Amino acid sequence: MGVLDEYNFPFCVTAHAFNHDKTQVAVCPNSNEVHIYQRSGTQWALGHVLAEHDLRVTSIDWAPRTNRLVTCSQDKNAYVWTQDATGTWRPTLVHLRIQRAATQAKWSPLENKFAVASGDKCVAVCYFGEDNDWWVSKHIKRPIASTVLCVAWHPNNVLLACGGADMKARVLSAYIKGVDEKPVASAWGERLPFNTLCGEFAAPSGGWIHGVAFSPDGESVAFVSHDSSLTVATPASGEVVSVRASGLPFVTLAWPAADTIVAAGYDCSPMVYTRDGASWRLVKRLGEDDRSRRSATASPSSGNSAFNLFRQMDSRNQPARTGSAADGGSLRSVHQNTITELHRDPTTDADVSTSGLDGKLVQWSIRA
Amino acid sequence: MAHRKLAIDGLDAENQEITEQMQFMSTKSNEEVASIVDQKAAAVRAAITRGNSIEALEKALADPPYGRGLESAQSSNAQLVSEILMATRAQDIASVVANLVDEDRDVLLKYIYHGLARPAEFNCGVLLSWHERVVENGGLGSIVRVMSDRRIV
Repeated sequence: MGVLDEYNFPFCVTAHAFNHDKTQVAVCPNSNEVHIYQRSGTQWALGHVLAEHDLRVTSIDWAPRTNRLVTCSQDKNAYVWTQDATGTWRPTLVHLRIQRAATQAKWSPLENKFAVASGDKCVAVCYFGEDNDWWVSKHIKRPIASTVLCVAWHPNNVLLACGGADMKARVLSAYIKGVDEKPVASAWGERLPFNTLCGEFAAPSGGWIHGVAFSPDGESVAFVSHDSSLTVATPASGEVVSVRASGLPFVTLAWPAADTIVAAGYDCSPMVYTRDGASWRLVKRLGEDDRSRRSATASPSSGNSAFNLFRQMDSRNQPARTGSAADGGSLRSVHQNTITELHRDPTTDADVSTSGLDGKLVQWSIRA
Repeated sequence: MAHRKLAIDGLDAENQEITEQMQFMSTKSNEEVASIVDQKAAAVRAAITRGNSIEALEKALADPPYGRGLESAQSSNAQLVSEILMATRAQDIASVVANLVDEDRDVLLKYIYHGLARPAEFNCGVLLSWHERVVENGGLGSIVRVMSDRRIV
């Protein structure tokens, strides 16, 4: 358990995506550009700069098998990027037909569709129209009442989970005639035409839904919301279990193995939850036991680091100097600021990667 | 600073509907809720006189009146909770809070903030010592949950 690899970029990393073998990574430096870095030894070397968007890029997803990137941005556009024979990345504009910013884009498991969440109270499900040689989008509108902040695909390539500022997480059908095979009946439903609502769940104390994920077998859906909670819903048994976290809210999560959920957010540490009977239990705050790496003792959730800093300033009558105090003003966690994205590893179900506002890109092992 | 001179959200009829949807509305009438609170009050006061703060709190925090238009029931339930908080000895606060389930602890924090917002009606000193214990047990997460919850007491 712990950090496998850590790299510090000189900018906030607001989105990241690894390629299939983790030799390349696409990151967004909190701007309208996407930078593709190539692994060289322990370092990352800048390979390509994809500058086609006009406003800040909100999400990047890298399809592992077809080696295509999808990016979406606040400029209401999404691009699908393919690499040509010379290695240059070529964009194809996707006609999303949305009037507000796009917030998150995700490839479906078969990589023949992708979903783009948006502030236009809809999710655009996009597929390639062979006839027109053009990415076509179809909107899931009902019953979404506000900005959609996150989407996640079910392993069957048809169902889509989304959550957003209307404080509900929903599971909907994104079945496209002519693209998808008829899905087998499951606890989510039997007939699943496009836009069928298969489940609607709320967090225990409301709050925006920041992240959703399906379980690896697709039987359950988990989401994190702004009330510092993790909720897992299983339609087959009708169970909806919420875990109230003691720290700040999570913004992103991954469900890499059947009994393991990893969530991360404003508390700067990825938290590992495991199944404990019907409920879920926090078993580990990743990276915080590694005392040899960090001498700091204050944890962000205790709220003591700021208190100690002020007390020190008061007792010694000294002005604050960052990095001067015993705990160096640094947190006990590996990330020193909010974690923006957490993704499961494309190669193994035991690893996850996180990126943060502190510019760090960290790969973690979650296996005990 | 507003960038637009026109409030465009007002032009969208759907928006009104959504705003209403997001407001928490109670399904019960004012009288129904008031009678539930009155019924609770007798049991709660009996528990207080027996000195059983945990039982009293569990009863008072169960099914609290939420939503607009229930102000009188809400304030009488808040008074009820505050009576328990005042009646509990300072050294017992930590053990009482530790014995509450997560859900009740979050509701208790709502009532503490309800009281702190009305310093003329409630004893804020006592509320602050409860606040300290609740946050010790529930962490910052419980404060975040009170802030994000639209079911206001």
